[in-house]
Amino acid sequence: MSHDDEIIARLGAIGQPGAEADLGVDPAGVLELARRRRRTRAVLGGAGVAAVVLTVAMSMNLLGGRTQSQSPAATSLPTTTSTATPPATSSTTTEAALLCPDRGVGTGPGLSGAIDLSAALVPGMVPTDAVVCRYADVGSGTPAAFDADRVALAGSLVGIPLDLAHLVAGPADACAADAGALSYSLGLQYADGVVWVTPGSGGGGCPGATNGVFETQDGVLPALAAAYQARSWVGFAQGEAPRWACEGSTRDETGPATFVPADPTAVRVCLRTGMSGTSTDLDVGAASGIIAALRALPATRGPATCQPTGRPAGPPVLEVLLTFADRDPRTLRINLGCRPAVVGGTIVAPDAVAVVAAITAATGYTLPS
Amino acid sequence: MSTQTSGFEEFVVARSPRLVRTAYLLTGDRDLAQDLVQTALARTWPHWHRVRDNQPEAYVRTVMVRLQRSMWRRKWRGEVPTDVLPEPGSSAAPTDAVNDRVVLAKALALLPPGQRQIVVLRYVDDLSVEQVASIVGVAPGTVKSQSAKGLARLRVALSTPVPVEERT
Repeated sequence: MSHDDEIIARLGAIGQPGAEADLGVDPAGVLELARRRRRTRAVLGGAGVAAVVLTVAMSMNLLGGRTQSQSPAATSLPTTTSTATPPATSSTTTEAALLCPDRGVGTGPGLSGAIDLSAALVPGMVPTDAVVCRYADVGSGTPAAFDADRVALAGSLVGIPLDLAHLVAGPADACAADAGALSYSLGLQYADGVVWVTPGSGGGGCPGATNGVFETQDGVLPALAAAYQARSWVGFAQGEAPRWACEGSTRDETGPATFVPADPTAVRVCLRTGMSGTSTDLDVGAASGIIAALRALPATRGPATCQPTGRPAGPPVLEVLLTFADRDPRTLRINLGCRPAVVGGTIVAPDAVAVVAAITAATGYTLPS
Repeated sequence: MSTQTSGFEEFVVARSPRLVRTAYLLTGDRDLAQDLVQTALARTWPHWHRVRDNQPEAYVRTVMVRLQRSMWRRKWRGEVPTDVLPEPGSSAAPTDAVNDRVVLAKALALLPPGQRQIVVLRYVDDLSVEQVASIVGVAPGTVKSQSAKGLARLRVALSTPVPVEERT
């Protein structure tokens, strides 16, 4: 028996019933805990929400500053009334969860329910709601400088995982921000909790970003500033994006040979021509034809070496970035002048006609015949 | 109890000892293990009508694993991993199941949290690679690689001193 076999056998043995750790838990205690959780949620969703929101607002130093508005048309309103008597709807709970964290007490770590924040700056899912908080004068370093405006992002949010889920891990810089600098935080609401993304610990002007657990050296500040101004997620301007728009991962190569290993949450199509490129973000509904075409491809494992097909090799190149709820984003490359035409890591398919047709139908791209 | 939640208490009684065993190996602390299982079950209860006929234990395990990650993030750890095991493992024949459980629990505590989850689910709970991948939320390939790395670390932690002739 090898060492590993022996260890596996010992681990298996301690998984069997025994006297040492066979105490279970009391069902009555579980039910009481569950009922307490339910009561707490009911309070948050019902008439008691006003007091809760007010308390949260006070604890976040918001009442001395400006309140936030869910309306894209309003940036700042006089305080009290909107927070003291909000409508008792489920969106109020979301609003309470997405109140801007106080920059004066830290970097606004990510809050979460069952969301794993350790592997990526944001989850691969598309958030249900998103807000951007703007902080003024972060460089002064005093809580008195706290001053947050908040805008709720309107429109499609599919670009958020597509832009941020593939940023690579690395330490966010702890630099000192300039006095008077602006900084921003991004609050994202998911079914299972809330994630806050903030720039490096120095605030505005400092590279890197963190969700409180995962750090990246890639700067997201330009995208947050743009979202605040546009009141919608517009992503990065050309030249500001920390990563190529369709950059993903091809590490997940040990499973079945398939280009779409799970249900995607969002799809981005990039068209590279020479040194320039353009991209289109699609929700899974709009991308359903592309997803179906990719799934129908006869995928095999094989070398990705380009074998010219007689068409002009090289540009344009299509790339498809897929984000998933539970795995790394994946990039597939479609080279119109090569065979195999579709490559995703070690997974290849010889022909891309159906996929290209689906892409042109979904994006309106015009490709050379 | 309503029909929506019927069978929940029976499930808790029948399955929680096994879940606590798993939680103990994940946390390295008996009180934390009890808390973890109780909280995971409490979060399962509202969804019981939906999950009771669809592998409820796997559902609870998934909640446990994710809750445990939240605990790590909040530094809510009862465990204090050390580099040195109080008693080297494999030199002692695992005839005493209780002692071996303690030794292995301490060795598991030396693994990085994510790796420990994978090793415990894979080898202690004897789940398949695909089941572990689903619960932990990683690719099957990650489960395989982390299992191998975890076993290698356990081998080092549990090993007796390397004989002289193997050092060259």
